[in-house]
Amino acid sequence: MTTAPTILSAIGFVGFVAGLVVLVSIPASSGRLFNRQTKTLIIAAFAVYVYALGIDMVEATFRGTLLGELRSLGQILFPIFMLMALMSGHAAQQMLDLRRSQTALRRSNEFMLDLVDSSPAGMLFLAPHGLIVFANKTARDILDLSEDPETGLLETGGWVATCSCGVRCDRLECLLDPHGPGPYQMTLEWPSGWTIRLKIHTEILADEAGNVGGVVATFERPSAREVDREPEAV
Amino acid sequence: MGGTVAEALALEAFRIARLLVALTVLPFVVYISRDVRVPNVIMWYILSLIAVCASYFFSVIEGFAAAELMDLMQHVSLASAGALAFVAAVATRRQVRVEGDAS
Repeated sequence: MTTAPTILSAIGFVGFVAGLVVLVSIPASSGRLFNRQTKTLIIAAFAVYVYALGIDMVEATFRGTLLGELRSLGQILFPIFMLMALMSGHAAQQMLDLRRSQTALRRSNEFMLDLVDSSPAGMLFLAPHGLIVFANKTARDILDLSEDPETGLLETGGWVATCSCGVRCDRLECLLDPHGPGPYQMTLEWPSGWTIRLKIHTEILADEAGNVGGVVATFERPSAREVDREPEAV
Repeated sequence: MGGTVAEALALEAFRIARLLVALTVLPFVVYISRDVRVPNVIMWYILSLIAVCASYFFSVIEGFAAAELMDLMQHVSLASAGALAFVAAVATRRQVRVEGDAS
């Protein structure tokens, strides 16, 4: 005889089975909340409960058997699997957010770099120890800078810079020790005799304690008058 | 006779343990679900889990009082849990479809 509890159990069973079928039919995607891991865990939760309800409906047949005892395990596992599925979805969401923010950051960085590179003025950043850490496209062209493929550092073409005060340096490091108000007149001389004169504006970057983090130097492209070639020896 | 009492006590102990496990998990589920951005989907899973917890609760009470009523309530909870689980699955499919269309 069909009783109300049996009908209700059947409704629950059918609901979970239908839900299971729907879940299995959903395609999992690695870049989404419902990824393969989340899908597996939800399906596992539904499956163990389908099993538990199924055994429940025909309890008399399986009472005292291993299959009957496993029903209890299914009933305990259901909430645990649900929690795990939710945690997996939450982790997937965080990964998704992280990936989105990384993409946004990379695009912003590329935009800023394009902006700086498109500037007609040369811009470079000198680290406190004198290394040229960054140079935009114009500065690389004017100063003949090339990136060392092994170290990633910017190397000069062998020129020597001479400040208007007479200080000579290999890498513009004299700009780190400002001597009087800028801009500074610098003469850069290549071993081949090629010489350019630059008017360099500097901006020292320092933290609140006054520790110098580096210097931003900007200069314009030298005009023809400021570019000299030493007369070749006869 | 003694065996029947022992079995009943063991069954009751299992039902209480089962309820405790579910009740321990439930707050974590609710807490984590607050951060998940698809509340209209998660809600159905949580409701289904709550219905399952309710069925465990009624099965514990069944051993002490109003056995028939509690048995009925337990099965009503189970039927609700099944229906809610189905709704949750359908909501998940709809959400995945919407995400697919959006990307």
